[in-house]
Amino acid sequence: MESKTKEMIFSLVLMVFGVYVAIEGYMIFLRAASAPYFITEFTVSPGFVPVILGVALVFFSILHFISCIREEGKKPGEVIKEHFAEAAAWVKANKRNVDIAFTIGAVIIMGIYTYVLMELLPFWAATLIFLLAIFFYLRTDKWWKNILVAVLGVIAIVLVFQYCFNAALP
Amino acid sequence: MALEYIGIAFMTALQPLNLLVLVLSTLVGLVMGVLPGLSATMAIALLTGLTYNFPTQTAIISLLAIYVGAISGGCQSAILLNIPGTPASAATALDGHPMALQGKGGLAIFIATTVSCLGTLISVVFVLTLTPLLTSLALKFTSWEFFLLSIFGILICGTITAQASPVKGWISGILGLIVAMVGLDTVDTIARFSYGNVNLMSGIQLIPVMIGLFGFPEIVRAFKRHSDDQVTKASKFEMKQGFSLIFRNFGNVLRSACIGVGVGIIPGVGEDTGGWLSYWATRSLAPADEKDSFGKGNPKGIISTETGNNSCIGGAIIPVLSLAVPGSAPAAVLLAAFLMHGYRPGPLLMTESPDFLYNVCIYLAFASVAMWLIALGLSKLTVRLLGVNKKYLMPIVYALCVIGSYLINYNLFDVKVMFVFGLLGIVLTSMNFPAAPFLLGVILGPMLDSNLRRALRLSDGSFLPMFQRPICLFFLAFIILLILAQLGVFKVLKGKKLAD
Amino acid sequence: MKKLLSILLVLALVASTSLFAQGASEDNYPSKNINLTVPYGAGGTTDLTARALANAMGRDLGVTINVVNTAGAGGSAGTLIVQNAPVDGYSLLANGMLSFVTLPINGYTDKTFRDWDVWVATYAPNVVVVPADSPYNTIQDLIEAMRANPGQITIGTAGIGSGGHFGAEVLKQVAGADYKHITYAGGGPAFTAILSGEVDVCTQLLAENKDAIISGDLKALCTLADEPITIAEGVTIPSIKEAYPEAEPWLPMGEVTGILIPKGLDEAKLQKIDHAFDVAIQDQEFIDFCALRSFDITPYGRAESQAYLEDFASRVCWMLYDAGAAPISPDEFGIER
Repeated sequence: MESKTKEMIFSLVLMVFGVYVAIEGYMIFLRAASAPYFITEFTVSPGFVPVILGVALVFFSILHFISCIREEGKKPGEVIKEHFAEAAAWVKANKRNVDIAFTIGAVIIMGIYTYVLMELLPFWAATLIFLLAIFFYLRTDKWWKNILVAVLGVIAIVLVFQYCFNAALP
Repeated sequence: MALEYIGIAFMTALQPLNLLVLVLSTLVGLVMGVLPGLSATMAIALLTGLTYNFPTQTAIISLLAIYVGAISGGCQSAILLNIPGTPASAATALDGHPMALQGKGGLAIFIATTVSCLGTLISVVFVLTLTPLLTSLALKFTSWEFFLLSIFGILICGTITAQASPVKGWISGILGLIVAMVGLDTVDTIARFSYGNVNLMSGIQLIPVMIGLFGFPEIVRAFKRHSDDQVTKASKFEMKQGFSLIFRNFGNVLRSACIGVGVGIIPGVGEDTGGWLSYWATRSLAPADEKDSFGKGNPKGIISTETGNNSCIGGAIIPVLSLAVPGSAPAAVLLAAFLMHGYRPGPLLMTESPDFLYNVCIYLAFASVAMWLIALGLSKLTVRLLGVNKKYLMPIVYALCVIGSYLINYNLFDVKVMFVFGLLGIVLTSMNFPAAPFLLGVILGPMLDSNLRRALRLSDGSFLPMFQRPICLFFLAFIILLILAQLGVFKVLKGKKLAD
Repeated sequence: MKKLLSILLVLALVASTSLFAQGASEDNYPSKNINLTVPYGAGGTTDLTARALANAMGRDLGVTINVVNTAGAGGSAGTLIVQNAPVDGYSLLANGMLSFVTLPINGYTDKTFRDWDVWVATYAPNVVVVPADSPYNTIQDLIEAMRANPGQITIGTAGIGSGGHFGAEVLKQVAGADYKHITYAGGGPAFTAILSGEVDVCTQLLAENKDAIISGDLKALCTLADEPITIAEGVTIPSIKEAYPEAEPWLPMGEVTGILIPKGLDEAKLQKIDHAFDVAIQDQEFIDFCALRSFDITPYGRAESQAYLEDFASRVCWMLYDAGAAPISPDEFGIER
C-alpha cells in the first residue's frame, strides 16, 4: 500500500480520536465542576488541557489529511477515492500474505508471554517457555542450539538481576 | 581552602578500595544503561540499598559512578540497535543508528563516549565555579516558564525528527501529551481517562512507553519468515579520526554542554530534554547545505546530544547541593541517597560540610574518566551484537524489556502497557511518524498541564503575566517562529518578495 | 556439546529449585528476604523513614528488608498491592498516615485502618513559612491578612491530601477565611516555589524547610505541633497554640509514618515484628536520622497505634471532607467527627 494512502486513513483515525479526547476532556470538566470539587472555572479545570490537546490533534490531523490528498492537477475528491480504492485492493491482495501472518504469529507469542505466562508462572519459567517457543517458531537455528541459548539466556538474566542488581523478579 | 578540599577528595578517590568500587559501579551503571528499559533512575534506586552499608565516601563514589555510567551507556544500544538504553539517548539514535548502518558503529560509539566524558567534565567545572549563580537562575523558573519550556521542547523535537513534514512530529508529540493526561491529575487529584482502574489512575509510566515505542518495532522487524539479514559489521576506525572530529567540533561541544547544564539545573527537566535542545541548537546553526545530513548519520548530531545529556548531570546536581531540590529524576534518587548517608544538601551545606561539594565534583570527574575507559572497552564487545543472529538477539532483548518495565514499580500492569505501546509503535513507524516527540510528550505532559493551570490559578485566569516575564518572552518568540516557519509562512513571504 | 548442554540443564534445574525452596519452610519466620512497599517514589519523607526503619528492623530479624517503591495514584497503588498480596509476613507496607487513613473516603478501597496492624514510628510537624522578604513577620500578621483578603493569600503545598494541605486547612479554620490553594508535584517543587516567591505561604513539613529556615532564606511563623520546636541553637519556632489557642482541636498536625500489615497474620509472626520494631525504634542510626530531619519518634505498638489512629483519622478525614477534597463521607466507614 502506498504510504500516502496509509497516512490519509490514519489521519482520519486521529481526527476521530482527537474528537473523543476533547469530548472526554469536557466530561472531566463537568465532573470537576460538580460536587465535591466545584472547580467551575474552565481554565483551571483538569479538563482544560485535554480539551486543548484534542482540538489541537484534530487541527493538525486535518492539516496532515490535506497534505496527503494534495496532488498536482487533480481534484481532492478524486484523490480520496483513489486512495480508498487502493486500500481496498491492498486488503484483498494481502489477505493471504504469509509473511505478514508469520510476523503477526510472532507478535502473538510475545503477547501470550506478556499477558498469560507472566501472570501464571515465575519469571524464569515464563521466559524460558517464551524463548523456546519463539526460537522454534522462527526456526532460528538447530534445535539443540535453540535450547542452549534459551537456557543460558534465562540463567544469565536471572543471575544478573536477582543477584547482581538485587532486584526482586516476579 | 578549596584546593585543600580538592586535594583530600583526590586522595580519597585514589584509595584502592574506592578505585575498585568506582570501576565496578561504572561498569554496572554502563551495563544498566546499555540494557534497554533500565534507566539511570532505576540503576541508582536499585543500588542505593546495596551501598547503604558502605563507608560514606565509598557509597557516594559508587552512586555518582552509576549515574554517569547509566546516562552514558544508553548511547550504545541506541546506536547499535536503534533502541535507546535510556530515555536520555533517544536523540542519539537519530544519527547514531544511521552511522552504524553505514558500518561506522565503532566510530559513533567512540565519539559518543568521548563527548559524554567531556560533557560531564565541563559540567563539573560549572558546579565548582558557578553553583550560587546558577541556583538563582533555577529560581527564576516559575510556572509560566515551565509551561512554555515544555511546549518548546516538544515543538523542536517534532521539527527535528520529522523533517519532511513537521506536522507529523507535532501530531506525535500531541499523542504523547494525551497519554500523559491519563491518571490522577497532579493539581486537583481528579482521575482522567482512567475508567475506574487503579492502575490507570497511577498514570502511564515513561519507561514502558519508551520500550514499547522504540524497542518493539525493532524487535518485530527481526521476526520475518525469510531472513534478509544484511549483516552490518562495524569496520575498524582510527582513534585519531574520532579525536580530530571532536576537536574540529569543539565549539559544538562547548555550546551543547552549556545548554545541558542550563537544562539540568531547572528542577524537573532532565537529561532527555537536554539532548534534544542541544541537537536543535546545533542543527539550526549549521550551514544550510548541511542541514539535510542531520538524521542520516551526521556525527555532529551525536556530539551535541551526548554532550548535552551528560552535562545535565552536573547541572542537575547543582540544585541538589544548593537547594536540596533535584534537577532531574535520577538526581532525585541521588538526593535521597545523600540524605541517607547523613549529608544535608541544601542552603546549609557550604557552612556545615564545605568539603562535600568538592568531593562530589572530584568523584564525578573520576567517574567520567573511568566511564570513558570502560565504555570503550565494553563497546568492543557490544559492537559484536551487530553480527549476532537477530532471531536470537531480539527475543532476549524482549525478555529484558519485560523486566525493565516490571521493575519500575514492581507491577505487571506496566509490562502490559509496554506491549500495547509496542503495537502502537509499530503503527507509528509504519506510517513514518517519529516516536521521539511522543516520548518527550509523555515526559513533559504533566509539567505542561500542571504548570499552565497553576499559573492561571495564580493569576486568576489571566494570560497577561506570560508576556511580562523575560524568559517567557524568549520562549514565546522561538515558539512562534518555529510554527510560522514550518507552516510555510516565510516561504510565502519570500515568494511574494520575488514576485514583486 | 551435548554433554555441556545436559550439565547446563541440570544447573538450571538446581538453581530454580533452590529459588523455590526458599519460600517453602515457614516454621522459622523470617526465612527469606522481606519486601517493604513504599507507595511513593524514592527520596520522599515516607521513603527515607521506611529505609531507615527497614535497615534497623532487618538487622534484628536477620534478613534483608528490600524497599520497593510502587508510586502512583496518591499512594493507593502500592497500598492496594500489599492489601491484595498473601498475608504471609513477607510483604509489608510503609505509609504516611495522612494519605493512608483517607484512602477509603477517596474511594480507593473499602478497608480502613482498622483492617490493618499498624506500628506508628514517627511524627513530622507542619511549619508555616514565608519568604525572607515577606511582609508577614508573625502568625498574627498572616491570619489577619487572610481575614482581610479572603481567598487571596496563596498557599503552596505538595498537593491535595498532602501534609501541607492539611496544614493550610488548619490555618483556614483558625482564620475563618479561605485561601488560594496552589498545588505542586511534591515537597521539592513546593519548596522552590516559596523560595522564588511564587506563592505567599508554604505549609509543608518542617523537615523539608528546616535548613532554609536556619540559613535565613525563609521565615518560620509557627509550627502546628503542640509544643514550640528548637531546630538549631537560638532558632525556636513557636506553636500556633501560643497565639491562637482555638487551634487546639486540630493539633498536632503533621505527617505520621508507620509500618503496616493487613490483619490476619498469626500472632507468633506479629510478635517477631513487634520485637524488631521495638529494637529499630531504639537504634542509634534511626534516632540520629530522625533528629536530623526533626521527626519526633512515636514508638506506638499495635494497640496504641489503633487508638492513636482513631483520633487522627477522625480529625484528618473530616477536615478533608469538609474542604470538599474527598467525595465520600467518613460516616460511611464509621469514622466519627
